Amino acid sequence: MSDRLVSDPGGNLLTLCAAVGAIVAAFAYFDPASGINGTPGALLVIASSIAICLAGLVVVAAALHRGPLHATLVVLLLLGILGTALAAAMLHSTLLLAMMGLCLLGWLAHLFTRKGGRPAAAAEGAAR
Amino acid sequence: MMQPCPLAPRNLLRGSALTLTLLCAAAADAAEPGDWSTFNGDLAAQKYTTADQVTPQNVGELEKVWETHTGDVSDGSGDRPASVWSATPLFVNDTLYLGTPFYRIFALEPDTGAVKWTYDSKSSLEALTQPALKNRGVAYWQAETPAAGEPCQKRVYIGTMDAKLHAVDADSGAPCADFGEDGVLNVNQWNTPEAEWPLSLLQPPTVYQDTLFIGWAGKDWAASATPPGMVFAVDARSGALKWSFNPLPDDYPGITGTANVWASMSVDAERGILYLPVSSPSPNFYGGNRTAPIPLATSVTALDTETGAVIWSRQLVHHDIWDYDTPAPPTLVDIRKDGRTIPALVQTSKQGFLYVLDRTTGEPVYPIEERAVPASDVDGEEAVPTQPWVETPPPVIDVGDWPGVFWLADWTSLGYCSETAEALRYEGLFTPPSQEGTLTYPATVGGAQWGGGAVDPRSNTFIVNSSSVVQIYRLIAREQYEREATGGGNEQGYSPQAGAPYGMHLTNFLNPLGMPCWKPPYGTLSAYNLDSGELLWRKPFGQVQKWGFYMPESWGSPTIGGPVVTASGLVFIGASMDSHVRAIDVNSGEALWSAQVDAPAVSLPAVYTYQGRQYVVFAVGGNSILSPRVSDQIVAFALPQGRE
Repeated sequence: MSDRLVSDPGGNLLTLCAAVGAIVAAFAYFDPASGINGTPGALLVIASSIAICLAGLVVVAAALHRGPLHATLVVLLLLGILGTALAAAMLHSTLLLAMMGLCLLGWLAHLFTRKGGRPAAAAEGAAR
Repeated sequence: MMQPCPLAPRNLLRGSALTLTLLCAAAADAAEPGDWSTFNGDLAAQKYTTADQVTPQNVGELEKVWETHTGDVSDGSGDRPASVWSATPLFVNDTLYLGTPFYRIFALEPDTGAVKWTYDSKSSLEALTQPALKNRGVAYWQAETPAAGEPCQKRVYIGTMDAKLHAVDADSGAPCADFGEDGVLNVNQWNTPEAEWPLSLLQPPTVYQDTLFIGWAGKDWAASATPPGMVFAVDARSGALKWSFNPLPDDYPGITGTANVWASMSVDAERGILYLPVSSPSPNFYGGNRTAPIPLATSVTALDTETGAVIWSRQLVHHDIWDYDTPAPPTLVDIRKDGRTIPALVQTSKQGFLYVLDRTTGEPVYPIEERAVPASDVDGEEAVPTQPWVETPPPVIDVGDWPGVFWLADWTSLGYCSETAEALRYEGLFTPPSQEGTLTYPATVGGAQWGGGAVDPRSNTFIVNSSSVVQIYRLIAREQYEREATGGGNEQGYSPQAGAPYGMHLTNFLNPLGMPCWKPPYGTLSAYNLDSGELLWRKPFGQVQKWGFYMPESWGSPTIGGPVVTASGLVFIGASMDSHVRAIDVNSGEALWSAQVDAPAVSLPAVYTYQGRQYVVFAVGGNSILSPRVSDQIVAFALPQGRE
């Protein structure tokens, strides 16, 4: 597992930030001072953050780096991150928006540092 | 309670002598400078404070210094009706007093929010006349020369939905036994014997010298025959009736009632004149049973405070069939026009007009013309051919035409909005309700609502919030109504109008997704120069919030509640559906500060100074017209310690 963590820092960043985003959204759902407590919008971003987190876990834990499942998850992750970021902006949830920004960075990092991609493959070869 | 006017020297230099006279008159019924001792801050309903510690330059540093929760809140999901809390906190006697929608009084420490005492009226928590449990706070009175050691020299009053007015000692919360029976005055003793509902006391009395002026709320949408809208003047100590006022003509040849005063009132303390915002007669949306004139209905009416005699009255809507209740007390202000100083008043309205009148005579300061309006096509109805119309100052919303179909709402509903608009009757303001459905703009929610406006009496800048809401009024023949109606209330849904040949259905013009079918903005804040009648600025105010999502700022928000103005040039206001409270620059309309609160703050804030620190306090209660979000929060803001 530690190899996987090292080999896909982008995927890990994405997964971690989505998990934090889900916690932030859940806190806002229950906090009367959040302005969005008990709203369908808050529920939506809790669900979408959890979905991003789970998809990120699949990518990291299964060491997916290519193939149709990976491509599908990568596209869905991008849509999920952008959609959740838009929702966060409309919910005035700055922290969640920031988490989605980090998720996007993680997504980009995953693409460019993934095993099988040229930079990641070269690094792996050197390690062996 | 007449006292020397203790205005600050710099204000003496800034203001004219006559303005000062008015300020002094207003201050005469406030115990101390820096107090907020009445519902509107003062009897002139100016909602103005000389407090100037918080300025446009430092308001960004404003922070929450305390909050308290009363526990008196209901979202209506259980057995208890939902709560609607619009109480202005009163600061007087070094104490902050509030009433709650469960009809309890809270006395709080003004600097910490700690509870000093509470009083429970033990009122039944049933929605006897309104769709929700409602309260707009308490009233305060003190003896001109309080006797030391004697209880009830200072009193706090709270009314209940079941028509009881409670008086308690302001220092201890103990009932004042000499008031009514053991501290409780049964106002329903003056109701008509056949009345089916009590005279609900949701708005605290207006206190002037040793007299309480009491209006009430009822159910004018429910039936044709309802109690007449009596206003009662009672002794502040004993509760004994001094006089009463009936807005309906004696021996009226029709079936009607109400034309009551459910909002607060204002008083010209110098002249001893009480100003009443008189509402529409019953039933709200059909006038075929009351075609004879009712001159005092939907009016602003001036009474002698001593006798209750009518000094003058000006009807704002003839034969009201739109529920255009006069919703707020007129703001009293001296206007400088054409080289003269005119003792004036400004009356806001649901229909969007601002009526500026000479408050001694009722004559218009700016012209009011009678303009031809559409006829009714409903059997039995006799809508009047003309209605009063005001061009100056410009109305708070564009009353000349409705905003038109909003493309986004129309597109997302596959043309529902445009098709529905085509099928409705609309011929401008004052288009009568119809059986096919009338597009009504502005409608019963306003325009302006009960919060009214605020004025800086030095510059005569008048600030008022408003809503831009399109509603559909549909009369339903009685037989069909009995089959169709499934419940409702005064703000949405079905109204039986028993005794009339038509029931009524009222709804916002929304598409099936719940989006407004009309173009934004949905609410604005406006500033006027009353000396010239000019609009100084108008800005979308607040944000619509749907499912938690905030819509663009340019859309604004419908508003319930009202503004206050400070001498330092700030407007403090809640009122929007996005559960924010804001500070606005009086000169530019720019929002300089905002804070999140637990629900829409549909109350007037109180601004007061205690031990050298200025506080801005909101009761945060919510209102189902804006949002289902409700709360019991009282929240105070001030500059950080050491930054005052």
